[in-house]
Amino acid sequence: MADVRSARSFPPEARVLSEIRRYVGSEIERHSFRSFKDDLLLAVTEACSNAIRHSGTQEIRVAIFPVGSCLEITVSDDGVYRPLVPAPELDGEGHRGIHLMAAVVDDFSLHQGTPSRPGTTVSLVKCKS
Amino acid sequence: MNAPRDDRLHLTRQIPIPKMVQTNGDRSQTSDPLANAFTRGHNPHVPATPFHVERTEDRTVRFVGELDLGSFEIAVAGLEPLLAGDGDIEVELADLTFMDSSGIRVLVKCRRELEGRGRLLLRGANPHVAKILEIAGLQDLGVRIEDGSDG
Repeated sequence: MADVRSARSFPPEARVLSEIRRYVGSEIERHSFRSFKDDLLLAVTEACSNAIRHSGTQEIRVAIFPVGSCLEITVSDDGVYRPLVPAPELDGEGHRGIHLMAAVVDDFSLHQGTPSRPGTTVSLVKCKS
Repeated sequence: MNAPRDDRLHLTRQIPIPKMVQTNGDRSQTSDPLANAFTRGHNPHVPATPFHVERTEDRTVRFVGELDLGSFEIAVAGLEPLLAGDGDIEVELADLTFMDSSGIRVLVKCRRELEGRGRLLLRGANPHVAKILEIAGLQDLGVRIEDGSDG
């Protein structure tokens, strides 16, 4: 398992999203991945928003792993993953988050929590080319 | 006018009680093996997402701050007075420092409610906000997007 360089937990409330961005943003700069900052802050916000809106979790955990020239950020919860429509209707209001998240990172993966085994983890990776 | 009669009692009530650590949530129940490596990051005194809407002209508003799930309702409420009337709506985005899919939802909702009565014009988005508008395909919905340099 990769070394956890930095990790924090937050309550599943929309009002902490800005605080999560400040924390992740300072870690991104500390690891000299500044050019990825905007994309990663967007992706992390989307992942956390999904956990807040859909999972029923008691907390959200954000962890940052520098791996060589790549930076991986994981967002995990203790909830159940609600299937989202992968291709949003253009004029629809919902489910755009996954689409945006996947568009701005180099690698995106999702381990889905189920009712019998709760706990969803989203992994977001950006690499220096 | 309605100040409390006992000022000392009033002042006493204003003293904040420090409460920096959240203690609910039992980590022993979690399936995540990393859970115990985490430190509590949340300070309960941190305010909600910093965001507000300024109405700069009759049909123009400016979004200021960060637009996410924590400020979605503020943005919706800020557009409501303009949606009550007819005509194009212009949203200045130059002071919007962050926007995610919640912001896209706000704008798509505004465009749809304005349908047949006017167009939605977005102006001055920073490069990353402009990138999100493009990925979300707002131009394809008939939203006009202009840079901030000159009308």
